[in-house]
Amino acid sequence: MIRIEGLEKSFNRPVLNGITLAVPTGQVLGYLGANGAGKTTTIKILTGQLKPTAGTVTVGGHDVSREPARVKALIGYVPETLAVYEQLTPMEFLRFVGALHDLGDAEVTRTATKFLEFLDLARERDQRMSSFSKGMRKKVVLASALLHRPKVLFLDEPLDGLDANAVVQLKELIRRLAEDGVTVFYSSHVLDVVEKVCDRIVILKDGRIAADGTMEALRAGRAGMSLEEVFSSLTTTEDLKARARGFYDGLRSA
Amino acid sequence: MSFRQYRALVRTFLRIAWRGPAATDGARVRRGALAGGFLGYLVIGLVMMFLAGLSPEPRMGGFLLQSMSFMMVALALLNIYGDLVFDARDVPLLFWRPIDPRAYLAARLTAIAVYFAAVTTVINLPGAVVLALRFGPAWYPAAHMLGAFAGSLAAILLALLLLFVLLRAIGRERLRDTVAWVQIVVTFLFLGGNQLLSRARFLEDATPISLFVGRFALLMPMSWAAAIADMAAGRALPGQAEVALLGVAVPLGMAAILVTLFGRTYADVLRALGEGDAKREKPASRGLLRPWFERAASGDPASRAGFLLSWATIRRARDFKVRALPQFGLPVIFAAMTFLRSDSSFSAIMAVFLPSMLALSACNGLVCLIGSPHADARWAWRVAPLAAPAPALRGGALAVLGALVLPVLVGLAVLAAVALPPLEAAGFVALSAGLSVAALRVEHGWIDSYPCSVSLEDLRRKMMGLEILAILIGATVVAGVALALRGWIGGWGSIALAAPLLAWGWHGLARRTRPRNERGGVT
Repeated sequence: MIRIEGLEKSFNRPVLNGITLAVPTGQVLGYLGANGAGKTTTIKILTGQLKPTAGTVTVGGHDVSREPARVKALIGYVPETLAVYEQLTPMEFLRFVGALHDLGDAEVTRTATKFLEFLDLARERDQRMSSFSKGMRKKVVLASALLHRPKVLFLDEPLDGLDANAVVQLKELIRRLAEDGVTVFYSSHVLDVVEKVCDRIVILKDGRIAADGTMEALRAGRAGMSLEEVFSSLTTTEDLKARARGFYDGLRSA
Repeated sequence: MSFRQYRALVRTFLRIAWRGPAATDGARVRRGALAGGFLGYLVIGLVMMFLAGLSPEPRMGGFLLQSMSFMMVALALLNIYGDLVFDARDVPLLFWRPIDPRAYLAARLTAIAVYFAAVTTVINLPGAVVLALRFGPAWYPAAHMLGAFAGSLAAILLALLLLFVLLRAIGRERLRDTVAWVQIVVTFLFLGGNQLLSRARFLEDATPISLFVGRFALLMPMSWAAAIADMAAGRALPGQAEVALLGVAVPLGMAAILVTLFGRTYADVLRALGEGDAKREKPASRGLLRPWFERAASGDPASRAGFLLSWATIRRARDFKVRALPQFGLPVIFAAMTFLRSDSSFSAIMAVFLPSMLALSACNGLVCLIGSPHADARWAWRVAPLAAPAPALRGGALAVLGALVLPVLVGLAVLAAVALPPLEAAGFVALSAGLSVAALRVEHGWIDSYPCSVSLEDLRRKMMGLEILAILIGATVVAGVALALRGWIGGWGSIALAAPLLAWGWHGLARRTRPRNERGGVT
């Protein structure tokens, strides 16, 4: 469903250095990396928001650069930023999004109502989002990404700001979507959730793929390690705990 | 083009514009900001209606209406145009969706046109009706509105055209900054053009500079608006028919150019919003004058912290640049206009106003700094163990002086050196400097007089009122006294008055703060 070949992106410096990756239909891919590793940049290229410096990217068999409209009709995206049109109510925003995707108004209203009830926002459906908390905004953005039943879902830190109950619901929702054939590209720093939700995990380091495989494959040769420990062993050579202890001891002595 | 998308986009953009900026005021949400703004425009419209009723002849009345209307359009251009053309939220919310770029461009232009049509209608229509009742003909209000709307549409399209040309020429990496600078430039063009037009229409001198100015003014939207209205009322001056034609042709031509040349690339330009923000590394320049002002602010840690934050905010925050820089540029524009007309009584009046305008701008700069949306780092102040806000704001005042007031003073000095005798120029610049520094000290003292329980937002609101007015009146009186006597007496008088003001102001801003632990923490 998603195919990335030799993807490169540079701003003032190289951010992505030849990423090659294929994600089959219905797979939940965990896309991990340290801060600045290039996760969000990859997602922005896949969703047509950035142009790659080199390489090709196809989603659903369509080249993102050449057929952006076809790709955009297939995808849903939850951005890392919590930008919403604060002046609108959740219902107004979802109806607006429905119109952009050419959905019927009655259908949008019905589906949006279901989403808002599911996400515990039914009471706030006609309140402006300017008064919403971070988590409430995230829920509205989640609903807007799923409203048109996308075939491919890009999630960039989707749990940021959500309460524990919403996290439980979202994890289950992702699993059900994948069972229904939706491909999920999941980027997050919350590794224990990634471990539970994702079928396969890719770890980026310095714009390159440092590891790619199932949780079991990544653990091979690292018996008993959690994903957090596997991640650390692949992205840094330092003993992070020892480094933190050394730093604090230095502070105290200063 | 997808008309369903177009309708949905227009409806949403207008809804967002009507409901006003999304700024929240602490925990409270400001509602109906734009509706409140339109009430303000209506008040202006009613005042202009009153002036139109007093106007001795119709062309004068029409000109007053158009002038005020374009002044308000210019300010709206400055304050909200960027948000109407490019909303950064569109990138993560819309641009990954299957949107037709032409529908998006058309919707943005429609929303902008509707917004500015509403502004011009509210300001112009009451006065235009009064003019028609007094002088006729019956269709004058419609013609007047057509002129005003054509002029404002030309201005907003010109801004967009300028932006696209700049983006093609210099690249899209600095899109946000480019939008801000285009807003500032077009606003100045509008305000400056207004001044030029008044000279072209009502001064009948035939000096070379006046003729040049007069010809230049014909290219301004204000001229087109006036010509269309005069033509419709049968009161056109020679040559105004061509100008009226220009007024109709230019907006249509610019719209055609925009759609033809830039319509298809609009989505790419907008995508640059995301790209520009994504990873561009922004090395921070320090500024030549920074070390000197930083030393002045280093009396205590809080003052130094205030200076460091303010200096960086002034020089790097786009919102702050858009809101505060024009306030400092206006004195330069008015100075240029004033010195060009140094032989008129208008010149003397404006020369008195200029130093006080700069003083006022300095205070507004400090106020903008306090209320800047980019003061998101204010949590850092709220948890910092500061005894009082005064030291931190003193650092901010010094940053305003170094990064904003000083460059404008240099601009004023250059203009004054060209247009005035040396001693008068020296007196004028000295007085501007003295009043600015003294006004900042006064403003700072007022801020310090509030209890710490008053939030920064409340402080900002309080300072927008009577205190600013008091500074303006006080500074004008001082400037009036100093500049009333022209020639060498006025020059030496200004310098003599400016020196103690400068010393008093600087001493107050640069000195070390006494501990005021009894006043609690900063809120």
